[in-house]
Amino acid sequence: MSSSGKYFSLIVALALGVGAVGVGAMLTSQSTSNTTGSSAGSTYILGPARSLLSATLYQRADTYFHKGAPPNQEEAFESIFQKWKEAINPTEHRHTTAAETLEIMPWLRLATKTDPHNIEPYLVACYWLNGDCGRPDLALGVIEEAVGKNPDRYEIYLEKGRLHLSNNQPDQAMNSFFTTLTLLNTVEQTDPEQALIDRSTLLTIQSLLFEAQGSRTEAIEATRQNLALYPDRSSHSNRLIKLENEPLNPEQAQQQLAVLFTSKYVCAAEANGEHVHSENCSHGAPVVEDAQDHVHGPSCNH
Amino acid sequence: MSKILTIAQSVCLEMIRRKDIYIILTLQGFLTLMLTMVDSFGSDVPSSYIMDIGLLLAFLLSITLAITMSARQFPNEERSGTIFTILTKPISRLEFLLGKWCGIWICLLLSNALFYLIITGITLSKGYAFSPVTLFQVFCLHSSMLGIIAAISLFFSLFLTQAAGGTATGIAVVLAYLFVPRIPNLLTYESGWREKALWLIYFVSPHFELFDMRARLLHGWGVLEFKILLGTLAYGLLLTIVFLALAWFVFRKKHFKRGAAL
Repeated sequence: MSSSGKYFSLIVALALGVGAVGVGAMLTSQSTSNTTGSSAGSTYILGPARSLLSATLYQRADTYFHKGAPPNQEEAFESIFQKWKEAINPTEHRHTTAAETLEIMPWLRLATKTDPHNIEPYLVACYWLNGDCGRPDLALGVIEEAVGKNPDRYEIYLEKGRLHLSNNQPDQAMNSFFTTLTLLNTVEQTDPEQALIDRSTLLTIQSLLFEAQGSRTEAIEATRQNLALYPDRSSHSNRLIKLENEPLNPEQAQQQLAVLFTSKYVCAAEANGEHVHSENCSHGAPVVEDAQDHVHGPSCNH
Repeated sequence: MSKILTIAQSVCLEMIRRKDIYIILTLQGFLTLMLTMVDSFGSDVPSSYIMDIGLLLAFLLSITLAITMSARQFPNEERSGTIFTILTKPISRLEFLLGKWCGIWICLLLSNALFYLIITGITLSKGYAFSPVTLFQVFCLHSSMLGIIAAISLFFSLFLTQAAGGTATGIAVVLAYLFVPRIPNLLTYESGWREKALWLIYFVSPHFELFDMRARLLHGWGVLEFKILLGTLAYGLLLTIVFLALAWFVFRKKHFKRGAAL
C-alpha cells in the first residue's frame, strides 16, 4: 500500500472510530426512564466500555484531589527504583485546597459525559461545588442535570435535598426527601443494603427537620419508621421517647442539622501528618458522635 | 563524526519528506484543542486537565513515532538496496548505526518540541499557570526516553522484519512502562520460581516510569532536584548505550542479501 493510501486508511479509521463513539454516546446518554427495548440493547453493548472509561476518569479526579497520590498498594520490597520514582513524582498524601478542588471538575464532567448513568461523579461534583468551591448555584445545575439523566435514582434526590438544606431551603429540601422516599418505596434497588441505610438517614433528617419546624406528629412518625428499620438502635428509641414526652427543641434540631451539613471530617492522623488513606476513610463526611446518626454522603466509603 | 552527521542528516530529510510527523502533529493539535471545549459544569476555571491529557497524547504519539521511524530504517535500506551502496563507502557499520540513531533522535527531539509548543500554547490560552522549568525537565526526560526507545527499535529491526520489529518494541515499551513498576506489588502474591523470575525482571528491565515526571508538573510539586534529573538522564544514556551496543553487536556481523523480503 502506498504511503498516502495508508494515511487515508488511518484517517478513515479515525473518523469511523469517532463516529462510533459519537453514536454510542447519543444512544446511551438518554434518560433511563425513556429507555426503550432497542436502546437498552445498545446500552448493553456499548455500556461496559463507557462505564470503564467513566470510572477511569472518576479515578483521575480522585488522584487530582489527592495531589497525584495513587491508592495505597502493598509492596513486597522497596528498591532504589521506587525511591527514585518517589523523588521524581512524590506520592505524599495531600489534599487540594479550596480553589484547587475546582481542578477535579473537568474530570468529573468528562466522567459524566462518558457515562451519564454513573451518578457518583454528579454527586461528588455537587458536594464539592456546594462545599469548598462555594458555588451552590453550579451545584444545583449539576444535580438538575443528574435528575434529568437519571430520574429513577433516589440518591440524586437525597443529594438534592441535602443541597437545599445546606443552603437553608428547608421546604425544597423536604420536597426532595419526599421524592427520595417515593423512589425508595417504588423502584427496586440494586443495592438493598445501602438503600436501607440511606432510608434510615433520610428519616433521621426528616425527623430533625420536622422538629425544627415544630411539627411533633410528623417528627414522631419519621422516628417511628426509622426505629422500625433498626429496632435495636437505642438512639432511635431514645429520640422517640424524647419526642413523645418532652417539649420540642427546634434550636437543637437546627444545630444538629447544621452539624450534619456543615462540619468537615478531619482525620486525627491526617492532622498529625501521619494519615494513610484506606477504605475506611470518609473524607468530607460530617463528624457525628453517634455512629448511628451518621449521614451518608458521596464522600462516604463504607 | 562528519560521517555520522551526514547519515543523521539523511534520516532527517527522509522524515521531512514523509507525512507521519505532519499527521501526528495535526492530530495532537486537534485533540488538544477539542479539550478546551469541556465546560466543567460551568466552573470556568483555568485547569490542568488540558496539560494532563495533552502531555499524555504527546507521550503516546511520540512513542509511536519513535517506534515506527526506527523500525523502518534498516529494513527499508535493505529493501531498496541502498545499504549495499552505503556499506561500500568508507564508513564503518558503527558510524552508520550511530548516524541512524542520531538522525532519528534529532527528528524526535524536534517533533517533541513541537508537541510541547502546541500543548503549552493551548494551555496558556486557557489561563493555566505552570512552572516552565518543570515543564522543561519533563521534556528532557521524555526526550531521553525516546532515545532509548529508538535504540531498542533499531536493535529489533536488525533481525526482525519492519512490522515485527515495531511490534516487539511496542510490547517491550508497554511492559517496561506499565508492568515492571507493578512488580513489587505483584510479588506480594507470588512465591517460588515466579517470585524469583519477577524479581529478576524487575531489576533487569529498563524503568521507563522514571522518565515520566508529568505528575510533578501537574500536581505542583515544584522543580526536580538537579542531581536527580542528571542521574535520570545518565540512566537514560546508559540504557541507550546498552541497546545501541546490542544493535551494533548484531549489525557488525549481519549479512545483507539482495532482494531480501523484509
